[in-house]
Amino acid sequence: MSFESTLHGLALLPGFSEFNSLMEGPLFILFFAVVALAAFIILKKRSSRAALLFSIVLAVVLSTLLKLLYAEVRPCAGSGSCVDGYGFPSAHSALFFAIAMPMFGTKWFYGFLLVAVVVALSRVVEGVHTIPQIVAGMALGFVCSVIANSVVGIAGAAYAKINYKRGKNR
Amino acid sequence: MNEDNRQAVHFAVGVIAILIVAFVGFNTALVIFSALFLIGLCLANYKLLGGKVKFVDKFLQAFDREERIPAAGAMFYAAGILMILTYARSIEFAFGIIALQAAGDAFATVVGSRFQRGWKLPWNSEKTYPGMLAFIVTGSAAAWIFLPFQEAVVFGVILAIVETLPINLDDNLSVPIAALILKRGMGL
Repeated sequence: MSFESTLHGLALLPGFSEFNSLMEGPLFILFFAVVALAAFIILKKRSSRAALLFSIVLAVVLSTLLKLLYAEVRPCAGSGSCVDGYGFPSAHSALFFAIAMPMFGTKWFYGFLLVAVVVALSRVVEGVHTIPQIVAGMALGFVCSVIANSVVGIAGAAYAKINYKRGKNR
Repeated sequence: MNEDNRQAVHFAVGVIAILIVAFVGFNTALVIFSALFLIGLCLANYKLLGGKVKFVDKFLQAFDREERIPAAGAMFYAAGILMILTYARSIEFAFGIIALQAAGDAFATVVGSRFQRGWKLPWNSEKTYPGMLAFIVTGSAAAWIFLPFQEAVVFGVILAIVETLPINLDDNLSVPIAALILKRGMGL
């Protein structure tokens, strides 16, 4: 029995369908907004907040573009209950890892990472994504946060340099 | 641990990753690598917060460079391997790039560290011409095991240049990302 088919079996667990209702439509947007807002509030530094927001924006843009580029159908394609759109990479996975990674260095990181892992695995349990699709999403979320952190760091350094020069000229 | 031994580990990790995928299958390997990656992130965060775990401390003492984030290089390397495996769409290509990076990066550091004065690259003073040449030769040779000769050489040369670019992104991530973009660009 493969890991993926074992995960599909978890769909029978009580409470899974209720949890899964958070993963689509307006409820998903609300769930995502709450998690993102919680991360934003927890991060106190302005640069960390900027990195979080940039990481989320990058994850949204890149996961959408990559879905169109790879055009890989979902494993549930053809069945009536399958959601629309391509499956590779998992945008849910990318988004929640893009939120979790900027929390690195705080004790909250474990909680956000757990949420990201549960969200990603729930997509496989539901049958709307395969394991490679959620792993690709996870890797994308990680890369987005690394790029965001890097860009914010460069921008911050440039801003500090400009301010320093301005201060000198006064 | 000196840099040569660290690079031997870097090379071995690439080889082991390829062997795991070959022996346990693609999906199982992805689950194993992802689990290791996530555990690694948690341990690195724990260390960053000042926690102490005996075996992790010993591991970091033996393998890690003195960096602000514990095991940052290992995390980037693992993420790079996950990126190339999932986005490559061809297992031969993924193996080729993992082998190229494992061999190229390791030998570039080993050779480069022996030629410091007078051999530095004009665009990056931390890298040298002999190191870059070592990346091209050993990386292309390793990639040739899985890819056609011309493709291996083209990727070897371009990724060696990418590896030396002074950008604010770890080469363990920039090399696989560049390989994927290049593959798409070349329509392979």
